[in-house]
Parts: sequence; structure tokens; C-alpha cells
Amino acid sequence: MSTQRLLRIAVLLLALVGLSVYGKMTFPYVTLQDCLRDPQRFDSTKVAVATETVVHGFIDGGFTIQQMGRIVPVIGDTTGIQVGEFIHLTAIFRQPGVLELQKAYVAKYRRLKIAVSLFSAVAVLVLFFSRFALRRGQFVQRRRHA
Amino acid sequence: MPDLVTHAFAAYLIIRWWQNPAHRAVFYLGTFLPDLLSRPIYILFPQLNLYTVALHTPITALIACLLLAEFFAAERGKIRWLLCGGAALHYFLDLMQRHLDNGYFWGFPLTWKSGELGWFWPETPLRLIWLWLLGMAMIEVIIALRRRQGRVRREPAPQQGDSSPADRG
Repeated sequence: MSTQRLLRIAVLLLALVGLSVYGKMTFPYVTLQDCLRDPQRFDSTKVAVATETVVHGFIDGGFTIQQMGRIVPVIGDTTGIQVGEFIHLTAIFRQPGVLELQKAYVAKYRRLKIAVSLFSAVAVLVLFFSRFALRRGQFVQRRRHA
Repeated sequence: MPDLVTHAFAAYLIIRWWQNPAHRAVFYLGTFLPDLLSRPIYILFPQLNLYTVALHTPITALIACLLLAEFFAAERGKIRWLLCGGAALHYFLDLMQRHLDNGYFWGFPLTWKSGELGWFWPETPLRLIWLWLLGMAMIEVIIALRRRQGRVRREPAPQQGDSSPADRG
């Protein structure tokens, strides 16, 4: 690889990492984890909860969710809610750590979606490497013999 | 995001007619790239979720496509276009989805505003996977039949007096 190409790779890689870090630093929305870290500050704040959140169980007047190892009670309608299912919700956070449900969406087939997506990703990678070989850090088109 | 079978089917409808199978593979890779870049981290390490928000935006997909193209030994110009075309198709499908709150951040890093058409939930296309697979299988059968017909038409008709291979044996 030429020096110019290596330089391009370094700049693009840096841009990718830079944007990822910039995204984390400037993300403007309050997350559930922010609320749990500082409940007093985020009392009565509206939060959207989606990141890998699973219904953990039922309680009086609501249910509990588990996100990143933490279990949080949610007060609200339990229609359509099932334990173990992935869930997205918008809610009002109340200290010390309770959510008042506004809207919920149960992502019922998320596990199946992940499974078929994983299968497709593997299939595309197999297809790609059946057409290209990695030689000295570069993808070289494989020659096909009739 | 819709599942990757749905993304693959959309890519298939566009790129199946392209002659070079290696280019087709690159287009598929481009179609999957936005999710390959962000989803494994998001699912396996949810505590790093905020780092992956930017990784599923058009600008980072463009940078990732340009970066990946640099690792190809030849035809880098064409590879860039194929990867970017695939990624653009990915976002075209993602645009149709709906989310409870924020969708995707199309204008990142200039703005954190999000928007989407809201036609279906991310899991909805799963119900149609069988239709996508059936569609692909049918198109492949039609292509194979047409190829066979073309081959038969191209082969010269045996002339009178020619012996068949069986006769020669």
C-alpha cells in the first residue's frame, strides 16, 4: 500500500472514531441510566427507554424492566406486556427510581430478528469471501475457472 | 432497522442484474455495513450504546464505505460507489420505520433532529421474510430457465449425417 493510501486510511479511521466519541459527548437526550445516576436532578424528566430493555416481572400497578443489569419499576398499563420480551417505552422518571409509563411498544420478535439478521450477515460474509481473498491486507478478487 | 433478510432482498432486487458477481457481493456488504458497524456493539455491550448512535448515521456510513474501499486492491472507484449505494439503500429502508420516540439522526453531526416516515415497526418485516425468500427463489429459477433457453438457442442444430456421441461410442 502506498503512503498516500495509508494516510487516507488513518484519516478516515480517525474521523470514524472521532464522530463516535463526538456522538457520545454531545448526545442531547436524557437516558434512563442518566436518571438512575442522579435521580434528584432528573426527577419529572421524560425519558425514552429502548436500549436492550427487557420486561423483568410484574408488580402492583405495573411491571419492572431490566436494562444494563438494573431493575426499574414502571407504573402503568400492563396490557400486552410479557415477561422476557424486549420493550421500548417513553415515561416520566420519578425519584428515587420509578418510571410513569406514557407509551410502550413490545418488540415481540426482536430475538428472531437478531437471529435471522445474524444468519444473513454470515451468509453475506461467506458470499463476499467466496469472491474476494484477503492478501497482504488487501481484498483481491478471486479468479474463477470455468 | 428492518432485519437483514429484508435489507438483503431489497439489495437483491437492485443488484441481481449486475453482471459481475464480485461487485454484487460488495453491494450486499455495503447494504449491511451500517448495521455491521453499530449493532454488534449495541447488542453485546449496551453500556457503550451512546458510542454507537453516531455509527448508525449516513455520514459515518459514508466514511466507513470510503475506509473499507481503501482495502481493495483494484477498482477502488467502483467499489466506493457500490458500497455507498448499498449503504444508501439501507438508510432508504430504515427511513420507512417508526419508533416510539427518537428515530435515526440523519443530519448528525450538524443536528440531533430525527425523523422517519413511520410506516412500520422494526420487527414488522419479519412476517414477510418467507415472501422475500420465495421471491428470490422464483427470480433465480426464471434466470436459470432463461439462461438454459438461451444456451439451447445458441447451440447449432446437428447437421444431417452427423453421428451422435452415442453412435461414435
